[in-house]
Amino acid sequence: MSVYWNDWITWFYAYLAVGLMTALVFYGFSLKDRPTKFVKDMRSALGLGKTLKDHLKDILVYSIAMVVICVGWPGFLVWAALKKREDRMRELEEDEPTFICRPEFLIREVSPLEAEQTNQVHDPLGLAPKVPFGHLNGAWGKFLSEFGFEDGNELWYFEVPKGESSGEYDIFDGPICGYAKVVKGKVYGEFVMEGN
Amino acid sequence: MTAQVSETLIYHGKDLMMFSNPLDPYLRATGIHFVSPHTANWRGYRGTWEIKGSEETRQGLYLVKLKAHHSYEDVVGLAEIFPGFPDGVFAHWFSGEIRLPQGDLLEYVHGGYASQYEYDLFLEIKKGLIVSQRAVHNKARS
Repeated sequence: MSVYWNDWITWFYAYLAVGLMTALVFYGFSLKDRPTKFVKDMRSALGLGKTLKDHLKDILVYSIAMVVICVGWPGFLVWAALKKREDRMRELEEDEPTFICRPEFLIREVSPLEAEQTNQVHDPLGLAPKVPFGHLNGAWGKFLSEFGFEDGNELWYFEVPKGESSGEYDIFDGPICGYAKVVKGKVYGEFVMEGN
Repeated sequence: MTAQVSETLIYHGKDLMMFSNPLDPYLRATGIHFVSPHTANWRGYRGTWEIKGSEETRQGLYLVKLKAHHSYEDVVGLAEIFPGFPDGVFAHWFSGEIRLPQGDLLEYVHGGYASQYEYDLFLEIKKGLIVSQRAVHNKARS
């Protein structure tokens, strides 16, 4: 049997065949998201199991989807790619750590030496460790060790005014201040030395 | 939500309830976490604080006793969290207001530090040092 590629109907069948394969692949992926037998049993026990009407509705929806994908698979592939990208961006956003310091709270860029010189603790009884940041000296050291002093990484002093709310915390009843790691205006780490 | 056990502040020789947690900023900065032993202590520790120093120089807020839970059974004290500071730990990391409720209980609220007492004494603290204080006379909410 020979194929006549100069015949438009051959091209049409080929187009539909690609569409059918696309639809089957995506149907296969959709099977992965089906609830497990345990979940199905639980739903049935709660009276939330699928009725015959629900099954018929599923068959109708899947049939329509298959036909739509077979016919408009180029558009479907573009939509699927955009959706995947959007989901990935959302995942990345959710994975990002939250900081008390937002870019608008940044006051000035400083050097680590300057930060240490201006943060000696004034304890009336002289009990606090006589090192920069007192009892927080270890936390400061850890912050610096994870900082990464390559080009473009900046150390900034920040202040969050009283009454602001930020990050995971509610409204602050006093100022909060510390140092932040900033790269191209974005906060990538923080050391809070004073807060409430 | 359950009403939370308070911190204690020794001020002018008296043991007062303190409805503030000045240790929290230190724990956040250092990444130390405690475990709640029961629903009335979600933060997992109870601290006793003291205002020390003279009014001529400056008065500061010091942590003098701690009972903190690494687990229900594993309880640690000041010596484990701040080794080498048996006479008190100056709370230089704390800036804000601490609330000291006093007098009769006007209204019990089953959550956090929301219960209302006859008076509230507020101490304004800056880098662990007292900068001002004010008292508020509360009235029962009708």
